Amino acid sequence: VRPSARTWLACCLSSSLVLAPSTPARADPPSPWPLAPVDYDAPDPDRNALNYARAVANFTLSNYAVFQGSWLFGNAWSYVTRSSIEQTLGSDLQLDYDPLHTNLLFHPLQGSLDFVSARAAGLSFWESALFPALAALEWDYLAERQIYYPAGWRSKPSTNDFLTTATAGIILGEISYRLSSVLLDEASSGGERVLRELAAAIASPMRGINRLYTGEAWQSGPPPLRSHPVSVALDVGVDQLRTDKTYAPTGLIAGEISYGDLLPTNHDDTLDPFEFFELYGALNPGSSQLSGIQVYAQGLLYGSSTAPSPDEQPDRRDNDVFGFVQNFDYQGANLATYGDLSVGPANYAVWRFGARRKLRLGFDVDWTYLAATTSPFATGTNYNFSTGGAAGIDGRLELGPCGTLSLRSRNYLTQVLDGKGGQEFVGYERLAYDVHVAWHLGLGLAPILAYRRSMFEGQSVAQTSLEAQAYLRVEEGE
Amino acid sequence: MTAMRRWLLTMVVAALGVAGAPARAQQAPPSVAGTTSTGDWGWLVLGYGVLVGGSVTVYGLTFDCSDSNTSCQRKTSLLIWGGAGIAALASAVGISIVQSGRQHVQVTPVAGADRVGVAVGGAF
Repeated sequence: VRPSARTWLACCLSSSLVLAPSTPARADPPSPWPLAPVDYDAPDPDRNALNYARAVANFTLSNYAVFQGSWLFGNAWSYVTRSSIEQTLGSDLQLDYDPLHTNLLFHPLQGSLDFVSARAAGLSFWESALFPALAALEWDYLAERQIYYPAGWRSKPSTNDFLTTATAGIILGEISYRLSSVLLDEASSGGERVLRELAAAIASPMRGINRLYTGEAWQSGPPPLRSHPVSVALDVGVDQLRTDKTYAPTGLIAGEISYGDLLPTNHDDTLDPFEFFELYGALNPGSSQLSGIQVYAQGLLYGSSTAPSPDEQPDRRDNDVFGFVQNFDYQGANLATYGDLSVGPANYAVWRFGARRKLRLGFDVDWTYLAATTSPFATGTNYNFSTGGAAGIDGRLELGPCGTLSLRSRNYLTQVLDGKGGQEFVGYERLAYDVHVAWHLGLGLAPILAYRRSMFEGQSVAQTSLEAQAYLRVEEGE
Repeated sequence: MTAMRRWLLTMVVAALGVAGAPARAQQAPPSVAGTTSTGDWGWLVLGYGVLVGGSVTVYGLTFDCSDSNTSCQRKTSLLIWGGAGIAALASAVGISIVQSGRQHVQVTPVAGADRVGVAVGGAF
């Protein structure tokens, strides 16, 4: 570490040590009466201009933290000066071809911090939705130097960074915020409270920071209102890939979260944003063919359900929800790496036959407003940006002790942007069968069929792969 | 750059002094001589933090570096964004102190020196 960096680190550390004890002076004594549960996802009912100002301060703090990390790692693009800022401010937005994982995974994750910056400041979902865009503008114009690359493109300001941060930050941010709410319980104390606060801060770092500097992290409060069923599963196993040749099995670590049951919570039978979402993430350590991270998320932005039948039990009530969904899909395998951001109408039909017995069928047709796909026809880089349409099918059959059968199908057909021409078609079908064995343990098997086709000036390159996952599942939740 | 570093350290130490002040003040008993709120200290934290952080950023903006002078760029960028970071942190903390002051204890003299009304509010 250079001396200047060491000095800065020491200053930051001492600053945090002095600031930390400055806030808990308002710690309340625990209430002698049990408090009614409250919804931890609800916005501050008394929010005003100060909440908005705090949201701006939060995302600036978040951008500063990302800048500081980049600066410490010696990334030259973070060395902004007055003249570099003036140059960026005077330039038009363009597509930049930074590594695909930077553009389609890291920027969305950065956007999620910006979104939670606003949510943690007490704003509602829709109020917070604007803040990743503001933070993206701040980052693009003020926090990165404009760099010209030999392939003929420059880095900043970047259209794709703005889009990914501003929009994918919403879906990943709200998911992380709601998951942190699931973990928090202000009525708990002692070691359990510490663990809950830590886990919530890991799930949603900006919320953790907010809870630290406001003192909420150690305040006694009402317990959470648990109105949405949540199931979490961690899979550990092996993954084998086959294309025109068969690869050796590799390790698999995956996580799957299902939130909400699609039953309406409002009196008018509507569902609020992200009262239902699904998140799947997988990692194949030690593989050059599958390397990488896969992240898939789909969340309901708005839903309208069929009218309730008063004579039906909740676990036997069928309903149909029509609404709009937001999707985030990143497939980081080397054989075909791509990221897709899409939004569109969706319909879910749910038939419930009793406890842990139901069939859910979902279908969505989306506008893929930004996609990035590795392509043999890409020039200057190894991938193309594109835009187009997507279709998805989501199916889940829960059969109680006999296990759960689930299907996820995603297909994207997009037109290449930036004047390069051509089309990209990518898709996959993942079928999974999971069965509960004992306690919180289960076993699972999931074949995945993936395919892609790149088309350019009458030429076409296609590729298909078959993947099989076998895993031990640790599961928790309803 | 030793002078610049010393200047930066001075600014950070000044910021720390300001940030520490409300903690000491909050521990003091509330005054009944007039309307006093812990939230007032939040405005001080916010104001001084923005002043100090803004000064550091503006100071960084006064430098300009040639394209080949990476060392100068590195130090200048730290001043620019370090100041922004100080201002952002102080703003966030200051606003939260203001908000907590409004939600918690506020001591207000009601009529002369023999009656003091105490209002306790807030969610919890």
